[in-house]
Amino acid sequence: MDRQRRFLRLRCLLLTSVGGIAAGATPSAAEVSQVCSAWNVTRSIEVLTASDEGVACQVRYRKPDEGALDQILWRSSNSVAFCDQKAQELASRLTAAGFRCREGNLTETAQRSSDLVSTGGADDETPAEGFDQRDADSGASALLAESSRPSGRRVYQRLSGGSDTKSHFAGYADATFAAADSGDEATTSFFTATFNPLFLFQYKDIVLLEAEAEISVDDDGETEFAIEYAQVDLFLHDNLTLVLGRFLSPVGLFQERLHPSWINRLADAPPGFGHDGVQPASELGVMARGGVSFGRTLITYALAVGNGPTVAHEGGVVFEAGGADDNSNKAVSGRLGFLPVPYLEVGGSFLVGDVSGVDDEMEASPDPMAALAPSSANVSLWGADASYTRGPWDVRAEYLSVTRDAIATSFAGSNGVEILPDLKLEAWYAQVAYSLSDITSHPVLQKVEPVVRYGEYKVNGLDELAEEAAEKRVDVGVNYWLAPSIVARGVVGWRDFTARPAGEPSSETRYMLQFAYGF
Amino acid sequence: MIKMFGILAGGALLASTVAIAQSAVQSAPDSSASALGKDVDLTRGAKAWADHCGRCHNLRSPSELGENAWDVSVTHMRTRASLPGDLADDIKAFLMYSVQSKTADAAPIEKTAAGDAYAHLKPGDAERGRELYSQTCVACHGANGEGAFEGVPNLMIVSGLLSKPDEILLANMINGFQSAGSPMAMPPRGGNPDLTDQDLAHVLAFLRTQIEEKTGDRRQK
Ligand code: HEC
Ligand code: HEC
Repeated sequence: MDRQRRFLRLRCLLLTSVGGIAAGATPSAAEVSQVCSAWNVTRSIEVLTASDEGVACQVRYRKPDEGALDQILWRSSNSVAFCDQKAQELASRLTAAGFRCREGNLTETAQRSSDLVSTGGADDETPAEGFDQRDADSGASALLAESSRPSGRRVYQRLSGGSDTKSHFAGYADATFAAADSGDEATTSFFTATFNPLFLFQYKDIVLLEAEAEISVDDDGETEFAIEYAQVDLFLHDNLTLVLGRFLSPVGLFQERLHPSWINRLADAPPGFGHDGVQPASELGVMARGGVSFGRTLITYALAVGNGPTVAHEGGVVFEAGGADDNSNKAVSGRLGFLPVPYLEVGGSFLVGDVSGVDDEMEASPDPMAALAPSSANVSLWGADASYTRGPWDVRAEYLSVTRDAIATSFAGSNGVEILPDLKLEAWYAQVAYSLSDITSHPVLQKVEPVVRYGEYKVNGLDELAEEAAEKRVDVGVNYWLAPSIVARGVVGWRDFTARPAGEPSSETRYMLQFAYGF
Repeated sequence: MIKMFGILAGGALLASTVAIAQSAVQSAPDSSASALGKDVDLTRGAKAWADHCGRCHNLRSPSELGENAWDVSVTHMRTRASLPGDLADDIKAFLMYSVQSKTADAAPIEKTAAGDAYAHLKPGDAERGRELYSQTCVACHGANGEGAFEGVPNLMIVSGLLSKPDEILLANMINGFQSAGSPMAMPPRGGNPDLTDQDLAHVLAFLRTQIEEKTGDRRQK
């Protein structure tokens, strides 16, 4: 008995062919309708005639038990036979998948009121717009795991329903200890800590508000507060999101994707990718972004228009969203990513814009007659990146190059407005991390991930910046992952400052310990 | 030159936004209804989750967040990672499923009532099973059956999970289950309701041949 009941879960209903045509067609009435059932999931396939102007017939597919919206799968402008045939084909596919189909109608109560669906041109004998291809391919969509189980049903309703506004609090925090040893000089050491709360508010599936602050205690023990980003994302289309506000720059990988300490494999940014570097950090403006997938292949794009870079206090270029633009020209930047398979990505980035020189009256030129007027200069950037993240591997490489034309400006230490020559900045790094989880199931060892990184930052055209920041560096570290987003790490970095003036130490060994927690 | 480019790009952005917003409004029943019900594909979601959510950072366990939080978080990641919206929805469905089935009555069956409820099934065809496995199960169980990511058990352990009797394994595959403490659920029929009991018997036969090959290998060594 019990056995029989189990098997009757695939309710056996006779499959009858599409037969007589119901008389007295009202608009949108189902002329021919089949009901297909498996377990207690019932779907219907209906051929509608005399519906819209210029449409001879449409095939409507309904899955009310699964909470799905009705779909028009096919329509034809001249041939009812086409719809009949398509309906029959779909019924056969459902039958093959274990459904039992019979002629009949869904009872009114089982119907969802929403008689929605695609508009779009009545292209003859083509799938209607909005028709989900994967649904057709599998005959019966893998919509919801077995709707007969209450849990299966709930998934769907929760995804769809719930309150209109949902919020989520996340973010990350870290504490870092660093000690540097530059040969003869005394070893210096310091602690730093950051706390980055992230607030997310979502309205239906239309808008997301994201805001992240950075509260940090620097090596002097001073607390700083900054807004990392504060942006509104508007989901206009599956393949297009519009971002407004202050957002992380889409140029390159590190700033937008890797810099949070629970994501980064090492305890700091690669040379040239952090402060004073070449990588744009944030932008104030608008950005359009999205992705299109073809099977497992994914193409992503981001195009931003914003205030762009400004002249740094020391005369370099700052790629960070300030309050006001230094000029009326907007900077345009973006990135195109290509993922032939999800674990391999190559990307290209660019930025074009310009910066305006500043006239700092505090350092007025001693000879007013000789004063230069500040000028503006073009800034252009291009970059390429690649990531390979299959299984235990996390391999990344990134290159960015920035040029800024000669500019008349005042800067720290200048004598009024002076002319700075062309500036060229170049930075790149390559990094490999490998998680031992793949080769051992030892409870401790499998959480260990060794990592190495090599990076270079070259500065041409601004000696002060070169002395300070130009370097070659090798970092070797070990991550111990307590959880997927909680890590303790130790890193040793060998830094070689390539443009230090004689007399200053040109190399340094740095030791860092960091604890990071993404929540 | 740059000025022109900037203005042009800004203008183009704005124009396309207006155009798209317009069409979004026109298909309002569609988009507002979409907030009330979308066609989601759990299997595709599981696969996309395994494919994409560990690309930038480690995969976080589905049990880390609740349903609403996952909804918001995946929307966040959709923007950050430029994922197509339909893919993000599938991932949401998968994560929400994993979370809420935890609280559902979904413990694995370890004993069966007397008699084999699946005795009527034909013997499994391993070749057919291989095909079905690579369509549905591979997303979570991985190409080698050892689990594609954390939270999915290794099925290829000799005298491991697959040493349970067929009827228990079949019942667990058909009904879905989540054992105590497991971060993730095995969805009913691997999330694909189109798979019949017989299909799952084929896949089981395939899994058993894989294990046998393994033991065979061992013996030869
Ligand atoms: C393009 C890289 C990238 C991909 C792909 C990605 N993430 Fe993230 N994820 C990030 C970054 C960067 C952060 C940190 C955000 C911050 O703190 O500003 C993050 C944060 C998170 C967080 C914590 C913050 C929050 O929003 O709850 C969760 C959870 C998360 N990701 C889950 C996922 C899931 C699930 C997926 C797959 C849909 C995914 N991620 C794919 C880059 C990525
Ligand atoms: C969404 C991810 C996912 C998919 C898809 C999936 N599984 Fe699973 N499977 C799991 C998880 C997770 C477990 C372990 C659950 C637990 O122990 O709580 C599991 C457990 C199992 C087990 C062990 C059963 C037992 O009694 O211990 C078998 C057998 C199995 N799956 C077969 C399959 C087959 C066959 C398919 C394809 C039809 C499939 N799975 C698809 C996630 C998945």
